[in-house]
Amino acid sequence: MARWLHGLGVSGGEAVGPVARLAPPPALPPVTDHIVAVADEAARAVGALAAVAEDLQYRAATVDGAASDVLIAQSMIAADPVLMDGVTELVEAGQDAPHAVDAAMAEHRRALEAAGGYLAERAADLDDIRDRAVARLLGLPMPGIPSCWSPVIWRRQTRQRSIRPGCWRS
Amino acid sequence: MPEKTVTVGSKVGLHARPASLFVQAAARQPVKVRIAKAGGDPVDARSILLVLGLDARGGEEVVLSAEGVGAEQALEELATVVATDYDAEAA
Repeated sequence: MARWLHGLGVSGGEAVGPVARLAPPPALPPVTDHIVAVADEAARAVGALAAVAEDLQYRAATVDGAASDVLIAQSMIAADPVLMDGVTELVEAGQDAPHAVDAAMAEHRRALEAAGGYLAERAADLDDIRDRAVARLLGLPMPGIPSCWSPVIWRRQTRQRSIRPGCWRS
Repeated sequence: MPEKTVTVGSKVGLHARPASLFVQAAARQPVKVRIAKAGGDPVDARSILLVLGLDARGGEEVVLSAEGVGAEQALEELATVVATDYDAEAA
């Protein structure tokens, strides 16, 4: 029986294959009111983003062509100095690391979405990075693309629905 | 402050791979470089998020600016990256 799925295609073209569903994004815990060591908390937030950047860089090295370019761009977003500064400022203003990462990413996401077109499509990249960094901070399993042995179509139903054809082997 | 106006060479604009290559080149410079669309606010060229946010399309002009020792050379190098047509190179 045919079933239609609607969403934003993350990669161009057509693909046929089994559909796999991505893990839901990690939920934020209740706000931590009293951050005792602000510098440590800021370092934790920035460190999580840096670790995500490193992981994406590593993944980029295991694939070729367009997939590698996308992962390199994502890695650069995670390591973006303006993003890091924004996260640090939010921690200094009293937010805990997971909320600071979430809020800083949300701000950039809004800016890209407002621009529309190609930039709005990149908003899905910010969701991936946010989810990975927050999961790392909370000690939750890493969301995203696990290893797979045959091509599948990834489907993620989150803030913005997206369907990602393809398979990354890691 | 030294400035340089240059036309974006890649049809895709300063998006995708051309944006990544530009930001990587900016991060290698000894001076802080800023980039703006003509008449727009300049942003830090080392930030992929802000460079993407400029939404500079192929054929549009951008203004690079930098200050300090090595500024002229940095602008020269980055202008070359902006002006290069990476679409043609990939084909």
